[in-house]
Amino acid sequence: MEQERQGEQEERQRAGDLRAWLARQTASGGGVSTRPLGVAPLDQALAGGGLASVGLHCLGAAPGSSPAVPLGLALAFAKYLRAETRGAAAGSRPLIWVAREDFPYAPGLKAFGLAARDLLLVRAEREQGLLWALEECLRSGQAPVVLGRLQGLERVAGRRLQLAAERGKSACLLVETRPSGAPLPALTRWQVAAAPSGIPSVIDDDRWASHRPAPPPGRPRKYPDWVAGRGSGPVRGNALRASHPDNKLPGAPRWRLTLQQSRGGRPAEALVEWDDATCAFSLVTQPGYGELVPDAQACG
Amino acid sequence: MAQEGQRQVLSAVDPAALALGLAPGQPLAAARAQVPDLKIASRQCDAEAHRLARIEAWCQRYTPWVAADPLGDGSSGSLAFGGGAGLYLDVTGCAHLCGGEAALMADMRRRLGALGHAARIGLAATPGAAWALARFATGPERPVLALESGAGQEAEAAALDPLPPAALRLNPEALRLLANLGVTRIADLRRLPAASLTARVGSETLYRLRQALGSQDEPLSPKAPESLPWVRQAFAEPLLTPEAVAAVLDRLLTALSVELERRGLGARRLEVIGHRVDGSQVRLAVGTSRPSRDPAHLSRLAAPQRDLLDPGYGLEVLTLSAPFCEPLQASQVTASGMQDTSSARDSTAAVADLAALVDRLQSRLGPGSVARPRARARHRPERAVAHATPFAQERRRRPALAGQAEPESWPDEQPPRPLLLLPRPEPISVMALLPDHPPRRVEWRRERLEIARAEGPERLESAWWDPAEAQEPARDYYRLETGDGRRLWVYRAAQDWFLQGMFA
Repeated sequence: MEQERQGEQEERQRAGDLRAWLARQTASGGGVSTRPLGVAPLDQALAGGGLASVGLHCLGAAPGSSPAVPLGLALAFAKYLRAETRGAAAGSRPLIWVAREDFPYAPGLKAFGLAARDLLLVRAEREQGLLWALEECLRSGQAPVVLGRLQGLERVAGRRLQLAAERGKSACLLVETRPSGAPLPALTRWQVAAAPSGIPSVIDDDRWASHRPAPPPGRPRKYPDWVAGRGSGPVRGNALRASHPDNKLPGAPRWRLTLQQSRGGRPAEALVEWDDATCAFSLVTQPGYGELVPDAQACG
Repeated sequence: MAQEGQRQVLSAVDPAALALGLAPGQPLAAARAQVPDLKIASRQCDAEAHRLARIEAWCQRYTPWVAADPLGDGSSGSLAFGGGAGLYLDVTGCAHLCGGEAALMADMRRRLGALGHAARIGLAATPGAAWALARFATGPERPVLALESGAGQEAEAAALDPLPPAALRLNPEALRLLANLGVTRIADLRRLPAASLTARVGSETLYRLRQALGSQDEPLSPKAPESLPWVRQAFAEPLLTPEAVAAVLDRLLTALSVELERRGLGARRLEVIGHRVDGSQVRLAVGTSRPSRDPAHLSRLAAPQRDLLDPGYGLEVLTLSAPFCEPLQASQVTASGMQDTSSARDSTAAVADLAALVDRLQSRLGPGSVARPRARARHRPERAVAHATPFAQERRRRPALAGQAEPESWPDEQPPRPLLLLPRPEPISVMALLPDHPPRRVEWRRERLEIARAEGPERLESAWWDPAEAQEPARDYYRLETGDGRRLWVYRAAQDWFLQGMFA
């Protein structure tokens, strides 16, 4: 009698636990959260109103574009998704970059709000080892975002990565150097092309003939000795004769993003600018010279 | 060169200086007067002691009974002792392993020479006599001296007789007194009556003399050898199947982890050696990125390579050792041990350590395949990044420049850097409006790029202290943007232009 009652109690408790688990799962939308990019045409086209923080996203360069651009986009997305998981005390976990060659140049990470220690580089000799490493990293759940660079993803491999990402609750951002046109079992697929920055062309300006304006007060231009052999001033007569007082030229990077494929969403296109100070995208409405802005109505 | 009281004296000289007439113990001022362009370096006692300890451990290849010479360890009095640091080796019963005493000494001298050390070796029946022979009877032209084994006390005394009393390891006061007495050789000393000798110069002299001649015992206390964590399993019947090998390996790993826990260590590298029936050996080595003694984790690491332990005709003995260990606190093993008792792969995702992931990656992709970028204090962009191990090591590497540690990160004031660096800079042809102006048009890989925006130059000097780089010209870097938005990082070195990287 006593035993029976105890068993019943245990069962009831277990049912309660399961109900609570189910409630948690449904409340968080099946466990997948999204992160809005802050660019209206893209967010509207993405399922859930933003970039999913769990799952596979494929990125590729538009034909004739620089190979560094999709790398930059991947890091920008990673920065977004990492900020998302920071709430879960995951900010200290590194991003993992898996590739065979052409890893991002670590000093350049600063433009994406990342430090060198945020990145763990995994070098694989063969494509097969690369896919295995990606899957292993995703499944372990040790990194909020796993980035990779490979030639082209096949359907089965893409499916495996998507499953591994779901299991490890992390995002996989893949840069394809030679993307095949075939649809992939990825959540999203992006094509990115570089676009001219918003600063007017100054190369024919006569400011190259004049000396650089003095730095604004309160911001002395000081470099540690090892930066450039320019400790206290110009090394040569023309060493600091330059074009822009903020040393920011050529402007913030602008990318033309094409959302080619979006699960549960629709295709879209936008011209965005990446601000490295705030680490955020913004929609460009004022095009650069000779630049065409896609019609927001036509593309959705 | 060393400080001795108020003055600086030479503590050691090289053969060239010796040929010029310089000697250890000479004041620096006098030596400078003799040889004006003398090159001096201050003495580093710590480094010397460290190196001697290394050699001491190395000498255990000849005999387990190795002890450091307390008189030659760099104390100020050692200058009087006819040489630098020294070691005692008791080769009783060991010499035949090298083919006899003469062969042993020749081998030792050859190998020490290959390690960059000049050695003088004396061999005798007592430590005292060997010490005397090595330091006072040998010389540059005759570096090895041995007394016939079993020659007896008389022969030993005859060999010691022509040597000065300093060869008996006496203190400076006793030596000074003996010199005043006109005792210049050990033979003279032996002739003096023991009782009056003790009364005049102290008991130590007689004691040392007896030690050298063998009538007084002198025990050596060897350094206790530091053994590696090591376990071994021998089998009555040889192992024939890979499954059996795997099972035994797991058992050995458990035993090793107990041993490691007792010592408070975690393994950074494991080595498994299987001895086959036919006398051949098979090996397997596994590295970890952080110290670990979790048998389940180590077993997983070894699993992909387990084929290397091919039993062949059968494995008789398996040994497992951890040649490279690091301290590991006790608490960690329980945490990770609990994690792996539930063998379900599902639970691993939740609790697996990042280190475990790195280990799995490295065991499949090869050592060094996982790295973390780290800043280096270099101007050249291609040298400004080092690839460090994934986990920060406590012991700092030797800095690139004396007194300058490697920076934590690149300076904030640094102008923007590209996201992609080409494996090597590629030559481009450039058209500019005026010689010092930025490029107006760039031709790269037969493609003509019109430049719309430019910033620069940023001058990066060559590292004048680095002979490999000092001859190269300084570089003037420009950041360029083409009309269609591609961003390039180019530089001019002297008259040539190169493309080095691309911005996103």
